[in-house]
Amino acid sequence: MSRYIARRVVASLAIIYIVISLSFFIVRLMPGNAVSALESQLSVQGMTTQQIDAQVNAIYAVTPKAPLWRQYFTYIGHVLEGKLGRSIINQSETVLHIIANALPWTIFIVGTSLIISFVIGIAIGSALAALQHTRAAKAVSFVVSVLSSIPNYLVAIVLLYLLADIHPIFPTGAAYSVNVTVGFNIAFIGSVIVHGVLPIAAYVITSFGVWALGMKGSAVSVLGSEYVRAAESRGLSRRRLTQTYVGRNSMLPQVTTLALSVGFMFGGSIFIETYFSYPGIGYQLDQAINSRDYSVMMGCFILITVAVVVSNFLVDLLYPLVDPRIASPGGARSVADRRAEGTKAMPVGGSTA
Amino acid sequence: MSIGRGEPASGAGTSPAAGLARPILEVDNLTVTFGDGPGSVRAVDEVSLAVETGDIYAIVGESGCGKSTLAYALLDIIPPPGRVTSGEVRFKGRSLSQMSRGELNRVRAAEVAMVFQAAMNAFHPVITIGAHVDHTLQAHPEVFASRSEGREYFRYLLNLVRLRPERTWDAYESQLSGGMKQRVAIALALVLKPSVVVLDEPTTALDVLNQRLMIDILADLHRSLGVSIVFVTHDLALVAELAGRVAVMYAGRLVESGTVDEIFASGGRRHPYVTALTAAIPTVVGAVSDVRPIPGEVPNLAQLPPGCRFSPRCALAEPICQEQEPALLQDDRGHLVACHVANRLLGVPSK
Ligand SMILES: Nc1ncnc2c1ncn2[C@@H]1O[C@H](COP(=O)(O)OP(=O)(O)OP(=O)(O)O)[C@@H](O)[C@H]1O
Ligand SMILES: [Mg+2]
Repeated sequence: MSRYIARRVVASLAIIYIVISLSFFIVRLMPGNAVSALESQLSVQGMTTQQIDAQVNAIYAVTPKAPLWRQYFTYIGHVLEGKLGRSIINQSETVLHIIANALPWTIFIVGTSLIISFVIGIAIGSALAALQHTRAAKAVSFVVSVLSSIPNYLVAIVLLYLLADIHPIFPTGAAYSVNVTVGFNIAFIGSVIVHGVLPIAAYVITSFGVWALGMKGSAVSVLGSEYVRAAESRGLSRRRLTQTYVGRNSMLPQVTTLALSVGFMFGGSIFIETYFSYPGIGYQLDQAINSRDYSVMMGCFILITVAVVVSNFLVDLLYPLVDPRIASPGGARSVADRRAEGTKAMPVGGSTA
Repeated sequence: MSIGRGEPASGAGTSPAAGLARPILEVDNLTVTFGDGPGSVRAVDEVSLAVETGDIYAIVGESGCGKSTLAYALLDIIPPPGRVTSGEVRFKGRSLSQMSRGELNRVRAAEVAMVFQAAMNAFHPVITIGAHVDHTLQAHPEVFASRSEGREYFRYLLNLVRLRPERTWDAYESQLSGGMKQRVAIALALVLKPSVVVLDEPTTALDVLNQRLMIDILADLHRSLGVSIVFVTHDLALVAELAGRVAVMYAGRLVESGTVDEIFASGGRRHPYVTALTAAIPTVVGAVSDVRPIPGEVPNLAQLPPGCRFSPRCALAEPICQEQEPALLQDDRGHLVACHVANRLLGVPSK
């Protein structure tokens, strides 16, 4: 077991290290690279070479004139200390500060959406599996698949049009109203909730179906498995059957997927946050990409990588507790196999949604 | 001398001497259908048989002929979309279809237990063997005075199936070999002291040595526990060794049933399919050239040939075989055969 953990720790650190290195080389070595672009832009503004170097160092956390290997190690050192440089567009802001301001909104909006769509999806999926041979379940399955294949921008536009434009019940964007004072007061909290309704609704509508279909798939395959029939043949109660024999095993792949989605959650949701102008990580990332703000982009990518790697690591760590096949000497199969077995374990939501 | 196929439940398995006691398990004119409409198949088609207390009863047939479905029907656990469309299964004279869910759950495992064909997959992969036993004991509190008494009995059974109890209790299925799982499955099926145990292909997935062991264990259990055994197989050697009575199925229908002697005796009245089956098994002493595989293949249940289902592959087929489904006819010893030709040769009138 400790060897298993040690292997996972080493693998996780290696991945983080590789991504940090890649982000350095991409910015530094790309043809027409971002650093020399910034240098020429600053020299046009009439700065001296020293001023330019200092500014580039502040923004990218690299010293452009040093040999490449030294630049590389200085950069790694800076990142480890948490110095991610400054925004190119708004040079008075550090990247760390931008991320720290955006992250709570992302966690609130995407986290809430994730929990709601998970709970709704699992409930609907279990019901669909339990009633799989009925007409009603087939009809609901169809509706759910249709819903989950509607492009998300369409849902966002329809919601905005109906509930913010025609019937102005909800605001069209932002995280809270400008009229309230930020702090722990009813007005502020109420405003945050009202502003959250449409983005959360859009997210849930487009993603609960993925959970529902995933849960239905794994529950149907567990229901059809020999050991459930064997348990039935031993006269176990309905409750025991559904909880211990069907429920637990069909939840396993869903919980894994949820844990991975939590990792991706830190990347925010570009779709939700840009359509509803919601100031989270996804919104910042989208802005940074549009304005070629490489330092903010790099900061966001490093955040997403670390979050995904850490959540992956936690899943690997917790999985042996729920599935003895991983930890036992007899069960040589890895977590990855288990995941593949259930349904497709694509994280739901996150910055790709 | 003859009985039509309408009411074989009273006669199918009953030898005249044992006529007093009621069969413990009766299958009466049972049809199990998968799906509905034109695509539906009848995996079990008007099958009747009767298992007497103390019998070792074999159900034989090729792959896909409905053996497992029949076994599931014995515990009323046919997987959907399958369902019983006619006939019934009776345990000690009570029809399973008339039992309440609670009553049925009491019969399952405590009276009629089952060991599944894929015993390899018969255990929940993330709970221990011990937990399976505890859940079973918990569902049937009426069998033992206390939980520990039930556990003690399971340990005794593990010894009977030649496993080490202390190694087995805390193990997960992934830690056991296929042969061990099969034996644990048998012990688990017997833990509530059922009167009948149904084994679906108990030796198919095992290597030769484990098959030998399994045969010894089953004979042993039958002797020491007095449990009636119904087993499903396509292995005639196993039948010859273990069973007292045999029912042979072909494409969902019963084609012959009787004692092992009647089925294996050469020269007796036999269904040509059974004759072909016995010729198709290699014997250790016989030359390989003596093995005669049955030409053709098992018909698709959704597109059955007219008349006798075996007629396209049958060496003795006559015009009537392609027109009329043969009736299952019984002689005075209770030996049943469904074949126009065999029944006529022996002078059994076909209705
Ligand atoms: N879930 C199902 N859905 C539809 N048809 C089924 C289902 N299960 C079984 N059948 C049909 O019932 C027939 C009999 O299946 P069954 O499993 O009883 O065969 P078997 O004799 O046990 O075969 P084997 O020796 O391969 O185990 C099959 O040919 C198939 O057509
Ligand atoms: Mg079978």
